[in-house]
Amino acid sequence: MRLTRRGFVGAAALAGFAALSRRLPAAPPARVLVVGGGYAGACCAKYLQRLDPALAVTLLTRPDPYYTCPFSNLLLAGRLGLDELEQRHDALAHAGIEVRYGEAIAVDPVAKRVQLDDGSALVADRLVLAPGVEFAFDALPGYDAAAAAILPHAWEAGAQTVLLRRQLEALPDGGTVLISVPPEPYRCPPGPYERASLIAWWLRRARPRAKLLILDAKDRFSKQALFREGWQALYGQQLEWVPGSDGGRIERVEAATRTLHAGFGFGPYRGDVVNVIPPQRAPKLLREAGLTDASGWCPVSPLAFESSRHPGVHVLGDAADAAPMPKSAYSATSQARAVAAAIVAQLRGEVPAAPVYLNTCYSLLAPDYGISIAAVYRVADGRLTAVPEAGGTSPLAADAAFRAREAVFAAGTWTSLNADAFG
Amino acid sequence: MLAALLLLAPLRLPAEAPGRGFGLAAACFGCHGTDGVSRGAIPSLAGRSERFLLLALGEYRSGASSGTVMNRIARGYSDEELALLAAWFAGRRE
Ligand SMILES: Cc1cc2nc3c(=O)[nH]c(=O)nc-3n(C[C@H](O)[C@H](O)[C@H](O)COP(=O)(O)OP(=O)(O)OC[C@H]3O[C@@H](n4cnc5c(N)ncnc54)[C@H](O)[C@@H]3O)c2cc1C
Repeated sequence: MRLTRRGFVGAAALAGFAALSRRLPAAPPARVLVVGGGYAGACCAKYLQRLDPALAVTLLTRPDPYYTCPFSNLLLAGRLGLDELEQRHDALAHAGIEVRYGEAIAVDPVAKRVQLDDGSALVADRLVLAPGVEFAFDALPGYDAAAAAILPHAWEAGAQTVLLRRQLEALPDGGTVLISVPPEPYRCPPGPYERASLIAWWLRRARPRAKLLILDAKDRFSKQALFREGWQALYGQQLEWVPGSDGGRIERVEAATRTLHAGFGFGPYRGDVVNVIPPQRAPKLLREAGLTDASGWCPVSPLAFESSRHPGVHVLGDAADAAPMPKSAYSATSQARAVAAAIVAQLRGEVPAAPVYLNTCYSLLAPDYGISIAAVYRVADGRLTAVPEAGGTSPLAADAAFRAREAVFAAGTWTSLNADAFG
Repeated sequence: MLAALLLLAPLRLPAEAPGRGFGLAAACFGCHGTDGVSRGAIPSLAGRSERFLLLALGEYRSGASSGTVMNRIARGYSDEELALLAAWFAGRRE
């Protein structure tokens, strides 16, 4: 039983203090289980605990460390070490969250029960599921987990990022780097183009005769005009973007020969270093729990990212279908704080305040050249909607000082996101 | 009598649920840090004066001040919301 302030005062006035304290033992705290300690899950656990320290918050995630994808493209340019991407969950544990390291293998969304690989299970009143994305290793013929050991995706930071960097270091001058980009939706829409930029920045200095080709499944991409303006000025012929309808759409991968095959008689493309960013979907854990729809992602209500399939189960971050919000760390934390506030309100029987979400995504075209895209999102007619008066990208034709300022802000945002989610 | 009763009550009364001010401000933490306290290159907002914050937000929205991303973001908020934001961040400790 949950007592509202008014209910308590009324009851106390009637029954008297002594009788009341005998009859009503303190209600056990509500239990919230968060699965996945990335930007979305770590941040949500943190704010659940901060907003209501009486809640019993458990965070289940894979063993530390967690490496941030944001800024991992700078590692590929030789500008950062892996240790600089490292995050841990110790601070959250110190703040009073019960942090469990392990692997969730099954979710019962009705009983709110999560099975772990060590045979144990966790049960809660509410579930918050934020396991990120799964690479669809059956969607692009020839590109599976074994192929990823030869042609890294590096779309999850860590060993894959280091592998791709090592391959770049071994690239002969005059060699070719290929980056294959999947159709949307995938995590971090401008990420492939930031990656291409920063690899080109390094090639220009270390392998000036090498060439980089982006093979894109799409004909348009995020911040396209800004990227192309910057590429022209910074990298000229060294970086080339091939749109889907001009042969950029890859249909088959041959890992052993580092070859990408395109349809309609285009290609094939052979590279010395080949980065395949595979198609993505919500992880199997969520699919098997019946939380996904035909899109492969989890449909949610925009008010508290509560699953449209199962009440009391919230799905946030990359795994949710939050369109038009992009799958970004910024979006994930904006959702996480709002969902934490909504859960705290709902558990008290109150109606949560109408949410306002924000996204700001910076991309680096060079270490001192940043651009951004931003949007404000509200719920209108039951749907998540970008506020039309707001948002947009950095201006074209801005001067070097403007681009340098946005590069500094890109680093500032990364620092703030990390401190907010993991600090 | 009632007030005394409340003070003595062994039951823990829930604090106020997070209100609109928190909901609006929380979206800004991604750049400006938890509660508006930044440890990086982006300015902190916590503890700045309410008048300053309201003026800055209004100028970003109207274009009287030109920032980088803030002009694009401020246009997404009403007068009332900018006032709530300014008050919320002014009320935090630096
Ligand atoms: C190259 C690159 C650059 C990027 N740059 C930016 C950027 O500059 N700005 C930005 O905003 N975004 C950026 N992103 C996007 C950002 O990384 C993601 O949107 C963000 O990580 C999503 O957070 P999440 O919590 O949903 O998922 P994740 O960060 O993937 O976290 C999921 C967590 O759940 C854990 N987990 C998964 N399954 C289980 C399980 N079964 N049991 C237990 N634990 C589990 C994982 O180990 C992980 O800790 C970039 C992405 C890439 C690939």
